[in-house]
Amino acid sequence: MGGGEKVLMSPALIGFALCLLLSCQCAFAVKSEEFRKCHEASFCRRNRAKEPGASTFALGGKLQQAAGGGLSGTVINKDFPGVELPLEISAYGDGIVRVKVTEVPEKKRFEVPDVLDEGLDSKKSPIVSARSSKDTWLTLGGNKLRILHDPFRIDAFVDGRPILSINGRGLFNFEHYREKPANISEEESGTWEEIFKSHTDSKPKGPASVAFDAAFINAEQLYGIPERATRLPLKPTKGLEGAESEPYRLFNLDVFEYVHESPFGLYGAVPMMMAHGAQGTAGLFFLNAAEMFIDVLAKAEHMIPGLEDKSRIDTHWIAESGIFDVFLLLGPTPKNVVQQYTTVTGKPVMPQLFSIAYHQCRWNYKDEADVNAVDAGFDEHDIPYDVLWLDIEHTDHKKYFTWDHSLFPHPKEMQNRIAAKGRKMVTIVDPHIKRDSGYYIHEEATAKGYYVKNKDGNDFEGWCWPGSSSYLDMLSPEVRDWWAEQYLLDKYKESTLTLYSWNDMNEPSVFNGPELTMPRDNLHYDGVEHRDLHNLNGLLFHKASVEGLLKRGKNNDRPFVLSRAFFAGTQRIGAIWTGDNTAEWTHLQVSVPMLLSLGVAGISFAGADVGGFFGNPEPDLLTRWYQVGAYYPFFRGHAHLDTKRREPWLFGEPYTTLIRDAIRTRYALLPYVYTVFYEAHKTGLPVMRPLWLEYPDEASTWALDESFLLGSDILVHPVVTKDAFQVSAFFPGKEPWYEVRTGAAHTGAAGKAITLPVTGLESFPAFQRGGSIIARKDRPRRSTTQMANDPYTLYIALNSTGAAEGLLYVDDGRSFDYEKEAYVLRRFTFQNGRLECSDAAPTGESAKGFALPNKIEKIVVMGLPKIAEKSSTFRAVLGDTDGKIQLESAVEPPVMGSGGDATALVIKRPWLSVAEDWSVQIVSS
Amino acid sequence: MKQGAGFVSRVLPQSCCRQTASTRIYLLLSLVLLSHWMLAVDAISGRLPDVALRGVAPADLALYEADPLFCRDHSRKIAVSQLNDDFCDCPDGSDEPGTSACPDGRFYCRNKGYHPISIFSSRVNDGICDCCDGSDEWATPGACPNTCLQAGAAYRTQLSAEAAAYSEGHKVRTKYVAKAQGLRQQWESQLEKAKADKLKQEAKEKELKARKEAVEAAEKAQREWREQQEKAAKAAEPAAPEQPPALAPEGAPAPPVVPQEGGPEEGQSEGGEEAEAALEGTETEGGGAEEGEEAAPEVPPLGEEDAAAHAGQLSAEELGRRVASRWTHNEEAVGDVQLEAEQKLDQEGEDWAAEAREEAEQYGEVGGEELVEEGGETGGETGGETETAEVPATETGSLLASVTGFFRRVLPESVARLVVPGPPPHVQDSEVESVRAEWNVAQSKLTEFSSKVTDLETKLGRDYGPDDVFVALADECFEVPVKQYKYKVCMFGDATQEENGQSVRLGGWAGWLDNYSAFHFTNGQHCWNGPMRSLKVRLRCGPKNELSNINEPSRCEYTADLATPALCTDEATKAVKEELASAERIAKELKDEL
Repeated sequence: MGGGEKVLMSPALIGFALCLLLSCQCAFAVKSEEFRKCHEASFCRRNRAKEPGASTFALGGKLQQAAGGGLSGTVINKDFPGVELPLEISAYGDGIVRVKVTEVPEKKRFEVPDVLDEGLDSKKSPIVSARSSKDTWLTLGGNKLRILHDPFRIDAFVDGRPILSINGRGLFNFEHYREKPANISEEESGTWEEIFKSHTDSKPKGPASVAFDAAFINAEQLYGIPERATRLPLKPTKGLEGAESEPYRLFNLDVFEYVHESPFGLYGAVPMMMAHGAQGTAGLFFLNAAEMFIDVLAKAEHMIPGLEDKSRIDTHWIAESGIFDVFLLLGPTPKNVVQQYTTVTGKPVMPQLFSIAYHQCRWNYKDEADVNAVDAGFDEHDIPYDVLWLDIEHTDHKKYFTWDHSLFPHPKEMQNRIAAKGRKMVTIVDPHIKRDSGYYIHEEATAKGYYVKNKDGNDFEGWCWPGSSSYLDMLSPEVRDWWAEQYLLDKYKESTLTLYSWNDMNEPSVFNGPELTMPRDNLHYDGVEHRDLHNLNGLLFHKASVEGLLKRGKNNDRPFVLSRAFFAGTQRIGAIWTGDNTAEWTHLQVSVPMLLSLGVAGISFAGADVGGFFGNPEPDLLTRWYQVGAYYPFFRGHAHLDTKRREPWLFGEPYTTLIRDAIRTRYALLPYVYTVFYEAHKTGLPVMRPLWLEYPDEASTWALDESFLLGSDILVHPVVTKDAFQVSAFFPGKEPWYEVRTGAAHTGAAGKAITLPVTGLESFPAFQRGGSIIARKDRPRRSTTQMANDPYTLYIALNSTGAAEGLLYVDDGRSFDYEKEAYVLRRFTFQNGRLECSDAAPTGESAKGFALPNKIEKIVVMGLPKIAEKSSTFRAVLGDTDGKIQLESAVEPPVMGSGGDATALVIKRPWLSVAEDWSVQIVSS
Repeated sequence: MKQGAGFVSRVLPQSCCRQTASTRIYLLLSLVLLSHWMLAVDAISGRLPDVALRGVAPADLALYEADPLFCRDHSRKIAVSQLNDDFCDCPDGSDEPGTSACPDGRFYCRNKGYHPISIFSSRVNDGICDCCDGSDEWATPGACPNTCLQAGAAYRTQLSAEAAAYSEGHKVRTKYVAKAQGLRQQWESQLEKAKADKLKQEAKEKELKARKEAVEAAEKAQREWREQQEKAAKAAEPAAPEQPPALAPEGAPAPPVVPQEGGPEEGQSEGGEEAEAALEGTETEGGGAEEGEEAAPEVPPLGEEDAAAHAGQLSAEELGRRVASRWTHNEEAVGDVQLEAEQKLDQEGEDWAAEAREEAEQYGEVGGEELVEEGGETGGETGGETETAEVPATETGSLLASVTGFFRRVLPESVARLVVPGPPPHVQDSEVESVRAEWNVAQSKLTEFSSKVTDLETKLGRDYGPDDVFVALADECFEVPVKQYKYKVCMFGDATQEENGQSVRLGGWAGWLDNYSAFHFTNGQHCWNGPMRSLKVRLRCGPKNELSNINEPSRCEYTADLATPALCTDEATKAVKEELASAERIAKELKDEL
């Protein structure tokens, strides 16, 4: 080392060395500076500083029955006589109450569009109310709502128990629009103009914050409000011993090299929180797309009259603008809350089958030869994959919907070549439009006035990948329609029907904007300020792109568009991923709680970049990441331009085999995963679930976020540390869990985790729930297309009473015909030694126009009593006990060649048709 | 990707499927047996039904003829009815050679008229034609038309072209081998001579050195005497300031020396690595920004973490570009260079953007050590000011670029002042001058001879591969233009990428790889946030030396192919010819059959 020893340490170098020692904290500190904190935002500072106490807000008069159902009234602010804020209260069934406070229509407060489910209005139910002098009681089935008149307060009761109270601490605040005073110097700084770093926000409308406190009565854990790289349970941010933390922030940003365990908001925002405790679960959704801060208090402060004796968790929600539009989700179980929330914001999309298989991405597959070589690499190593992705470099100078023809001279032929193997391609389409006079999108958008305007009303110009760029105003339905058309085959030159899309940078990312995004005083459609809709921006763009693919596919090809930014309701639109993570073990670890948190907030179809976007994963890390990623709802490998190549076969053995196994595991499980996606689509329940969602009564599960469930039947205790030789495994419930490869059974140990050995890189603990039946397709193929006709294997994991049940959902995997009953939903039940296959579709709703020819090649029964005993014999017969047709069976390990003990009854070659009703009886002696 | 690798894995005609290298070896071996096994299969089909033997390779027939039947790994006994019954009974997949039932099985297709291949059983009945005879899609007869005749014809055309190329290359190679011997002898005699020259020159230099020292001693004595005289005279005058303020070469901050053209010296590039390592540390650990600022208040804080903070001092575009460079580590890459040029403020600014990367890179390589080391050495004397020079070492890449840009814009005067050497000693005595000049000439000549000796010794000590064949190419360089670049690979020397006369070193010779079928160059110029550049050159036989297929699969890790007669060995040439002969024989037999 050339003379390094001679160097005297200057203060700067010492500081640097210290930083290396305290790397984590330092990284934290450096990052934190880039983001606006509560005390730097006047609206947050003002509201956060408020002391709890009597609120100045009161109900303005009697609540009236409103025209479309529900009640209406006004809220007044006693500090500002004459200001009357219209109030609306609506109920949607027993469990959902919406409370909306806004300003009179002339004031034009922004109300967030495109988030609520289209069918929500039709679910409005009548409310019975009873008024006394101080409060009004509303009855919603078994649940009740009490509106206190002065101060204005809302308490929710489930079965007589209070569960939620709004404005109990008097922090409700609604800053009405007002005239700019002549002398603004008398006002608090930052109210009419605000500077962050070098950016000045002109704030022409002045202060307009909306805030409130929400107390979750008897709650013990809080979850939700993604996206941030933290643990799943929300830690307190206020009232802590020692240092005060920043409140949680919801403000979609392009965060460069985010660190794990950071409370800063990332690319997306869902202002939805769930509170859980022994007495039940409740949720709150604040429909507001402005910048938002949320405090979670370490301990309750200020007594709430009438609720003094209750334990609770206090939260404080502070939004910069918009309106008060809050949905109370009354539970009482976590599943109920997710279902209620997705009733409000919509159920997740039913994805195409290919899109839940494995995706191979990199910034960038450079040219056609590269694409061909990667495609061939998978085939040469017999590793399945479904989608090959092209990042920004495939375009002509970052002009989306174009090709760099020096690298991709024959895009159509390339896509068709990939499609000939049943695979798909994805190209990136970002929201920044290159300001280039030769670029048709720019020309047209400029001519039509489709760009977002700056505060002076001119087209806003920012800086992004293409250089100087402008941004389409997706708040305008006309712009969205126009954008959607750009996806048509005749518009998007050299695209094909097997090409899908990817929207990155849609927070939006503006490299030279405040906090790398758009100025808040930019103007959208109808004069809406960017500050009002910021968190919605990504969703609008995502939605417009999805509409494009719908148009292209004549409304019968389910769109697939991956987005980075998201908001409440994104689950109705498509998939998201957790953005630019890093090839570090900590990022593998945090990917699980991040995805769980998204799922709790309704966004199921999500994944983290396998391998980590930045940096080079060591082969062990990459292998472990594939093993975890195989259970992510969205499973994609991705890497930064500067990283070394890391396609699955590049690390030699044992890595190639282990990564192949991981990917094949995903493919084998696809029938199950697809069924879980169908369940999500119907019910809103997440695909990847925290244990407490399924086992809400087991307090030991409440803080667990390293383990997770895929659907309800697969439990994963992932290995996410280097050289792990054991994992701590908690088995919820009272029924056994069967290790998927060996069939070894584990049962919960009285609320305690047990230690499971990890014998090597190939050891990855995943379990099937006792009481479940899972259909798999165990034959590896190139991609999902070639699996269509392959036979199923049924894995039956018996519970302690010898019973099990499972569903299998199948459709054509790509069209919307399933909405016209072109699908098959089968139920498998096992009881008293008898396996039955029957129709599970709602009556009159089965298999119109969809034939399922597939057979069952094997049935594996785990957990039969005395199966390991030499003296016992088993045989399987078709039909009843006296059935004559005997099926071949043997006691073997559940998976051939897995090294497990012979503990399963394997019924071979039954060749039963999945679509037909039949039964098999197991006779033991 | 197949073009690159010699004999065994040549490109197959497009009409056929892709195969792994091992499959290819296998099929080539079995090629010879082709005509025989076809008969064999027909002969034994008596005992086993055709279906049972579907997908069985001829070499494996014995396994399936056995009675009783076992899985290949002998893990279990199976019945004949279990062969190809579409249910996997053997853990090794051997009971299902003709179906997709077993995960890791193999299906063998005869491809009559072409040549047999063995495919993964995952390809059987998957709707994609993998075998030219269509046998892998047996469940849907007619789905895959037999294309083996065309495939075979294309294959033979390709083989004969290849055989011709091999023959031609082989002739050249023979010449290379012959030439190698001569060249070696030539080098040896050159070495002898150089050694002798060197010895002689050593004596000469020694003598001149002695003379020079003698006259210098005399000159020194004369000077000292004169100085004493002057001192005595000065003592009479009042005291003057100790140091003239304009000239402070020792106490002044270490200048970030503008790197010179040409390769960095050994020590310097090592220092550069250190600086780079420090930078990387900063980036991943994310530290040091505040310290950096504190320590160097005079430097405009242009670090990425401050990008937003100091945006007011930058044009909006510059800010965007810098933020983008966090992802790309290359400010040029972001935005349209053309457009940028149009909009650029002034000449200086325009240059800055274009130069930033190279400059910064060169500082990373060359300047880094100087910055840190000199700053450190002089730190004691000049305090705070010195640390200005250290900032780059504690900041991230884009900051380094900014700071170096800053230095260029702000400091040139002082830098110029500092690097200009003091006036040369004023020599009066013409004798001193001429002796010194003579000695200088002798010295440089000696260096010349010494390096010649070293060069020749190195040359002779090298590994030139089998038959010493690469001796013939010892001094050769190969070039290929790709877009705006020219790639140049010098055997046993350097590999470079040139653009508009600017050369980037991809690496220095680092030896042979993969049994002389490739060589590589390592430790090239460092990449931002990436490795040191490197290049791997894969070799194959060709009638002349031709560099092609330059690629950069991972950032700054290049690959290329070199066709060269040196690889057209006897064996390889013979094998191609045999393969061609065998392919022709098969075609003829088929024709006769028809």
